[in-house]
Amino acid sequence: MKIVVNLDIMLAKRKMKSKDLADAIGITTANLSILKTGKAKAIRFATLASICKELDCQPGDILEYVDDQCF
Amino acid sequence: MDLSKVLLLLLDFFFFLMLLFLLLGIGFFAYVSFVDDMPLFIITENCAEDFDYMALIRLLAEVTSYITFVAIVYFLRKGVRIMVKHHIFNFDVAKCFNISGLLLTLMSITTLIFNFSKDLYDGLFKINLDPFDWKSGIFLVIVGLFLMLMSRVIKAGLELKSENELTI
Repeated sequence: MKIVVNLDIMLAKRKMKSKDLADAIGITTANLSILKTGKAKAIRFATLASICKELDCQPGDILEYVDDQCF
Repeated sequence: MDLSKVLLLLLDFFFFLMLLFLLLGIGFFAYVSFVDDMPLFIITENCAEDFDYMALIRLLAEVTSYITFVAIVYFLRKGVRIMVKHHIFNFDVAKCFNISGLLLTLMSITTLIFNFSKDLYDGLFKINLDPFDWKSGIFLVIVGLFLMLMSRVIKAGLELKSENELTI
C-alpha cells in the first residue's frame, strides 16, 4: 500500500511554481520538496487544507492510493 | 548538573583503571611464564590451589570474563560519549548500548553456568539466586537486559523523531 503525492501534476495544471506555493502556504521549499518527492511520512490536515485552498482542488487530486503490487 | 557528563567521567575512570589492571596482569603472567621459574599457584577467593587443568580453566574463565567486562565498559563509555557530544537519540548510542547489554547478559549467564559447574566439580550443590549479590550474576543479567531495552527505546525514539521531522 502506498500513497502517491501528485502535487507536481497539480502545480503544472495551475501553472504555479513550487516556491510560490511554499510561500503562500507558509512552509519552506525544502519541506515542499520532501512532500513532492514522496519522502514525507505524514501530512497535517492544516497543510493539506492550505494546499487545496491555494491550488483550488480536493485532497484526492493531490493524494492517490496505489497498491504495492502495481510496482 | 549534566548527569551524562558525570556518568562519562565515572566510566572513563573505571575503564582506564580496568585497562591498567589488565596490562599489569598481562605483564605479571608474561614475567611468571617466561622469566621466572617460580611454581604457579592460582589464588582463589579463599586459598591457593595447586596448578591443575581445572585451575587453568578457572583462570582462563576469569581472564575472559575480565576482558569481556572491559569491552562492556568500553562500549558503554563510547555510547555515553556520543550521547554527550550529540544527542541521546542517535543510532550509534543505541548500537553501543545494545552491544554492551548483550555482552553483559551473555557474560552473566555464562558466569552463572560456570559457577554452578565449578560448585558441582567441587562436590557442592548450591544455587545462588540472591538478586542483591551482584556476583550471583542475576543482577548483571537484569542490568544487561535493561541496557538492551534502553537500546530499543532509543531506536523507537529515533523512528518517532524521523516521522515527526518528515511530517509536513
